[in-house]
Amino acid sequence: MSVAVAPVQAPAGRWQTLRGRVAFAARHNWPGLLATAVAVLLVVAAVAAPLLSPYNPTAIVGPPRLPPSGQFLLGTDGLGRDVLSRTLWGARHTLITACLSTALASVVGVPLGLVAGYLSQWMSDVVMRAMDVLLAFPGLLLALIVVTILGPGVTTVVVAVGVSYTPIFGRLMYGPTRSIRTHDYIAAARVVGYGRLRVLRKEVLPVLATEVVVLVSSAIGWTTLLAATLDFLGFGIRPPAPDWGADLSAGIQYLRQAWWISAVPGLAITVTILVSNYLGDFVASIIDPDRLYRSHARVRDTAQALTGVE
Amino acid sequence: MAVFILKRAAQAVPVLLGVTILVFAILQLIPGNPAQILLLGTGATPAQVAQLDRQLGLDQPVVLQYFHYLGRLLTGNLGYSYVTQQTVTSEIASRLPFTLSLTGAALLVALLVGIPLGIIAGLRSGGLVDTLATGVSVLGVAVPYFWLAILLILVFAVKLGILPVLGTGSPAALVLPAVSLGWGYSGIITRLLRNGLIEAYQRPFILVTRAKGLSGWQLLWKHGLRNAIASTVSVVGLQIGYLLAGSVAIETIFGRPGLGSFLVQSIQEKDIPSVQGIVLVVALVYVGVNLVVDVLHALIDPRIRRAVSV
Repeated sequence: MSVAVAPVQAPAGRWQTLRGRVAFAARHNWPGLLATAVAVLLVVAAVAAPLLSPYNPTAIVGPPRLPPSGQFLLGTDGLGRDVLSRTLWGARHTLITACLSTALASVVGVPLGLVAGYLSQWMSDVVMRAMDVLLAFPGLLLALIVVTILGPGVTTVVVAVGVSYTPIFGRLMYGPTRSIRTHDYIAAARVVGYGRLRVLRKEVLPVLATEVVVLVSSAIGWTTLLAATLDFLGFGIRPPAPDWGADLSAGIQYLRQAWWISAVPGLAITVTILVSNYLGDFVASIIDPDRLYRSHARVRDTAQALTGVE
Repeated sequence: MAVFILKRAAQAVPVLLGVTILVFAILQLIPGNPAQILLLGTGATPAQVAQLDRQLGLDQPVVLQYFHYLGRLLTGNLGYSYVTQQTVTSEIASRLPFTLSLTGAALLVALLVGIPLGIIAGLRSGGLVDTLATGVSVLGVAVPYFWLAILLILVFAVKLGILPVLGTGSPAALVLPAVSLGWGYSGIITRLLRNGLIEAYQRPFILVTRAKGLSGWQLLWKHGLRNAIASTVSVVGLQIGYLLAGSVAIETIFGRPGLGSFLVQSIQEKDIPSVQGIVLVVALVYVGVNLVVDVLHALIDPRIRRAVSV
């Protein structure tokens, strides 16, 4: 390239402390900072739903399909229940479902990917072919298979979403593990006398920690969407319990008269997914500030290279 | 090239076998005796259950049952729907066109929006279109397609009244479902194509071809896009699976009598043979599409061909 770009100097000193890294990430990653703030709000809404919601989410508190007003800030639903209270309580249910199913997918998927990537070729083949079979069913379909087997319900949704993301987690961990495997320091650890599992735990996993954290925090958004889809289709929580996906679905029949019944829970789902996407990025830039710096540097290089050639 | 196609097809065989095992296992994994599940609610006596067991071969060892199942599949026999008593094959055949037209139209929307946006954003990165396209793609991934469907119905059918919501007769009725389903994927295509182009334009050969005197369009067509589109093509293959799965919710909203709404209905009615049939057909289509896409990928990118042929 004809354009000479000055090497980026990393301010190493400031990154030694967690505080310095958080400050750095907050200054250079404003969407991440904003997302973190909204995520905190979401969690507060979920935890404090009993305190924050003005009404009982399952009680009929007014006339049906009342537009947003001072008394009902987000209007009432098809039966006359308060949409705001239902959305706040729904946050609780949705976030718990998303966190549990993400935990399930990571507890099973991440070790599978690591083991398949690092252990013998034979093991790798068996595990990855099994993953390929599961991946032949697009996410929602795999979840619906689980629903067929277990029958609809709250636990089913957690298991179904967890199972659907397990092969994806496995696949995403497999690649990086595979490439780390060939590094000299892994061979060195083996020579020193580390067993295979110890190498995996002490040498491979720490290197992939950033990947795992980013994966898990972004996955909250994916699992939220899939869980909401299952609830939307009517395979999750039973009415009258509040749930974003189910409430959205229930509002469709009133779309012409009362748009807010469907629009509000839908917006809540969208915000959760958006936040989760940026949150992963933000956490990554705290754990590994160099990564943020590099990505910024790369964008700058690209921009300079392009304008330089033009 | 023939070698590549054969090798790639051979790879699909174990996956397909695994898919049939999993689909076969759905009935076995449901808690309880399969024959009892089939006769659920009919008030059958134990003798009747035992008779059905024998009739269906359910008293034989599971492995033997699987081979019988596989044998029936090879003759195109997917069993009978418990609800309609028709063959599952004919039920699926009558609904498949609705799902395929929806998936195809959604893919078309994704490509028609994604490719031009991706090219402009890639060539003028950092510009207005790039900023807009990035925003659109972030939102496209975050907005649940079923919520987008509701927003589109609100605007175009309820407020403006220019597009129909229900029905399958006219092509106009396909517009809203296809846009709701395809929009999110256009964002992914945009981003991949943009990043691919930026990366390609950084390579030294672009400078050489410019020095040779190639015009901007020729450069883009012959060198830029050919390098950038490879990764996009393989991801489009994966997305088709998600479009097929997404049709489940979209068909339910828009009342399209396709495979997706049939699947939801079959799960609700515990019509296990239909569930098995639909899941199998969708997985087959998905594996098949990915086979074709990989071949296309190899046609575009000779490096892939060589990597496999060696």
